[in-house]
Amino acid sequence: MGADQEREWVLGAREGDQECFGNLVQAFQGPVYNLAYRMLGNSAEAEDAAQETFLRVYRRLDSYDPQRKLSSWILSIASHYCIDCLRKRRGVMVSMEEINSWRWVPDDRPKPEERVMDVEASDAMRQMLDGLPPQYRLVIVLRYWQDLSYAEISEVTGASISAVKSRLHRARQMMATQVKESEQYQVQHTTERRESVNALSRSF
Amino acid sequence: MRCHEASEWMSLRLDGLLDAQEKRMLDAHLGTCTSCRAEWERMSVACALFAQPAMVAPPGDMQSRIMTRVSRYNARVRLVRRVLLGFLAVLIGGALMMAPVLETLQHTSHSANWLEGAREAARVMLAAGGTLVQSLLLMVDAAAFAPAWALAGAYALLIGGLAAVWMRLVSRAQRGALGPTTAARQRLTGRS
Repeated sequence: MGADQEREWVLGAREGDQECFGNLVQAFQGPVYNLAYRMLGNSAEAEDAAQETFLRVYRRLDSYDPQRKLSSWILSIASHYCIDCLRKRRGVMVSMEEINSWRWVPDDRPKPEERVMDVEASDAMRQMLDGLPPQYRLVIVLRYWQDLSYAEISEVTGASISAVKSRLHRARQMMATQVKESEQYQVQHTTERRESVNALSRSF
Repeated sequence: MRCHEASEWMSLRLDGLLDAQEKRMLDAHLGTCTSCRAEWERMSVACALFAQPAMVAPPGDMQSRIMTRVSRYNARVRLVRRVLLGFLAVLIGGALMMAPVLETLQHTSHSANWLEGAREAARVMLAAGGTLVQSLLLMVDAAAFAPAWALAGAYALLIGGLAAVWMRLVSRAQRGALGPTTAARQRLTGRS
């Protein structure tokens, strides 16, 4: 997928050529859908977000700057949409205090669509992502799922490279805290269980 | 090395952005600081989960649903543009037709009450217009301009303003980046 090919699609789509825009959707629906899926956590919302993203891309084709990488532009539209969704879901804007006081809460809801091969690992992964505030979740998803460099993440998010660096760092710190808390949770859990087993055996 | 710096370096290391010497420096710190070592281990555990991120395939018919929405959007844009152009045509046509109507009203003898009312309205409108022109001329006189030139200028300004308003209205309808020729082409391809 060369840059020339992409330019051709954009120009064609600007002229109203539906086939060109169809090619563009075909090429980028995977990355956009995966981004939305990891940001929002379920397939229904992910598809809504992907559809809305491409509709926005279509409406804004005229304002697209050809100097910019097309994938970065499309992913930035998708990112903004997902962040907005997450903020609406929370009902309030996320303030710095909230980000700092954000804590991971064990989530025991069943997640049917994730029942693939590695249920345990993907559950842990999802909980890890769910525990991150939107902006931090975004940089992690862009870093790992889209495999972007700091410079590319900065282009997508509109944040400076040093901001990207510190967000990734903060996100990883938060995840380390989550690991710590789940370790403590497990330790507590097994101790409690052992105690109840002991109590039970004593009672007989 | 301070613990905070070490923590930042851990993140960089996970992205493969530390060189050999920096790695040694970080390792040296981790060797002496237990809390940093614990943090490093937890960070590594967490990030190992994303080492091979699972990609999900988008629904097979998502693309066609997107294209349906796009063509629905195009249809809406075309409709809005047509309505706006039609409205403008009616507006301009109506304004042009007003002139002879007013003229006639001025000359017909009053035969009915509604006609009397209309005449009165026309007279008011003409008076208002006259006042406007007079004040314009006064301003022109005050500025010591030749009235003919000033009138031409004011007229050009008026036309320019109208054109700007019209352009704004139409360009808003065309935000989807579709020129009129493209729209025509789309109508053709849509039919075929």
